[in-house]
Amino acid sequence: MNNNAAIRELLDKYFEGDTSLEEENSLREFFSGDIADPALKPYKALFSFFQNEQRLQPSERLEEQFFEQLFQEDASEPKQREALLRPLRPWLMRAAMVAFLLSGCWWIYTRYQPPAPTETAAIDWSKYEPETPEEAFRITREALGKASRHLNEGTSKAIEEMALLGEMGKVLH
Amino acid sequence: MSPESFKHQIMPLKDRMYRLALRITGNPAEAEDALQEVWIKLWKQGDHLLQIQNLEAWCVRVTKNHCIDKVRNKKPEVREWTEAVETVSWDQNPERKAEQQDTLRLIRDAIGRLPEKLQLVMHLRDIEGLTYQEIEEALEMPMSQVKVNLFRARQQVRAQLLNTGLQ
Amino acid sequence: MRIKPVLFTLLLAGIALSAAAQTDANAIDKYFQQYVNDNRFSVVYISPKLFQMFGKLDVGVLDMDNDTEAQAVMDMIKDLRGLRILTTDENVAEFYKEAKAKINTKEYETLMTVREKDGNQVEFLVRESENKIAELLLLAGGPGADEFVLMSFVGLLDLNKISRLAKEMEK
Repeated sequence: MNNNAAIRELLDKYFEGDTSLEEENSLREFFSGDIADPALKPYKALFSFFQNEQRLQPSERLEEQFFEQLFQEDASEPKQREALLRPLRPWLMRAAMVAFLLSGCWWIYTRYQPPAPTETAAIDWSKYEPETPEEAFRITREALGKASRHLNEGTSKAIEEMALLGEMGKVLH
Repeated sequence: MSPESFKHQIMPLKDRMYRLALRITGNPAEAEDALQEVWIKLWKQGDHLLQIQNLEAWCVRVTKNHCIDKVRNKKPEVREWTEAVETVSWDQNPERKAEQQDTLRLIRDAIGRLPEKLQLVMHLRDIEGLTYQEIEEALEMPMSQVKVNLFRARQQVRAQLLNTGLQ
Repeated sequence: MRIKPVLFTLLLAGIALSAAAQTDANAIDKYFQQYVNDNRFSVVYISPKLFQMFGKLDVGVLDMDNDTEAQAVMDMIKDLRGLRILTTDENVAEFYKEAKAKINTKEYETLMTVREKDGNQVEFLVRESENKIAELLLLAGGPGADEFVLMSFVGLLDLNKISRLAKEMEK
């Protein structure tokens, strides 16, 4: 076919890198149809590939996602202020770290320096000791008795309450 | 720059940018990630962007550079085109369709084996239909180099095409 | 930044040290620090040394109602390492509230709270160590009570023994 000869010529031109965009378009168009000539068949694959690739697109959500992200960023940090702070940021970080370190040291210092004289060892308990063992015993016995009484009071109350709950349970069931 | 003008100026180029990213990364998910990153880069340029004369070539260039960086920083691994690259077949017969899918994959691999420069020139010319001037700008490559690289790319693809015995 | 690890080590060391220091002082110590010199409070401390001397006491002198009670008291004293009592009859409700707020709830666990009809409240708190009671706190007061009491029994205590004592005393 006459047409085929023209196409072959165009193909040669194409592989030499001498075709114009229009000529390349007509090649693609030609190869999108049925090709009878076996010598031309391999080129159909090539031009079909080009055509196929031309139709590839990103997913539809991509653009949407981008703008969503954009608005989120816009909302979360005012652009101008960010631009203003940007050059300062490394310094701000360093300053914050130094402040942190200093406050940490200060905190440790205040915790460790003054307590010794004023707080921890402050109480001289011996001042409050009873003068005789008898007195001490009496106090201890009283204290234990008091603790014991309250303890029993608590448990008996708890037992009473449990019993009461039990009674209520019986009524309810 | 308002989101509106970004939408009108940049987004019409998104398919072209995506295909280029896909060509370089070889993976649709990665190409989309790259595209998001490129858009953010461009957005951050703000009004600067509006002063650029050939915005299209600029966008292609930024995409190319970003993706090449991305690929280079990645550990070398087999670049595989996933099935997500849905190919549009040119035959409706299911048997022939599968066969043609294989053919497309062969050609994709053949182009994939080309040196990066040749791949990019061929992609921009034969798939995106850019003029030599546009390619020159986008790839920051002198016109003569563009032509030589295109010639080499086409020759090499033809050789592979005939070697694989596609009939 | 390279400074960070150093900073964290320092701070961690500081926190660990201060935490260790804090656990040393017991609840009454902390509370006492504020009121030890306050004349409104009466303070009693019985040292381990005094406890040891109890053994030598003549039970007859001690005005005990019966021998089993004496035995029960002696039995418990063996376990005691210290007893501190802080009492006042002023501002009862307020001191009670304050003491409750001051006691570290991480260290002391409330054993029981007894609330009486007249508004007097008694709270038992325990500090455990190795699953045994190492300190028993008795806190009494509240609105309507006429006395604020804070007692700290230090030692390995057996609550059953303490509970039994009351029964012995009632005999």
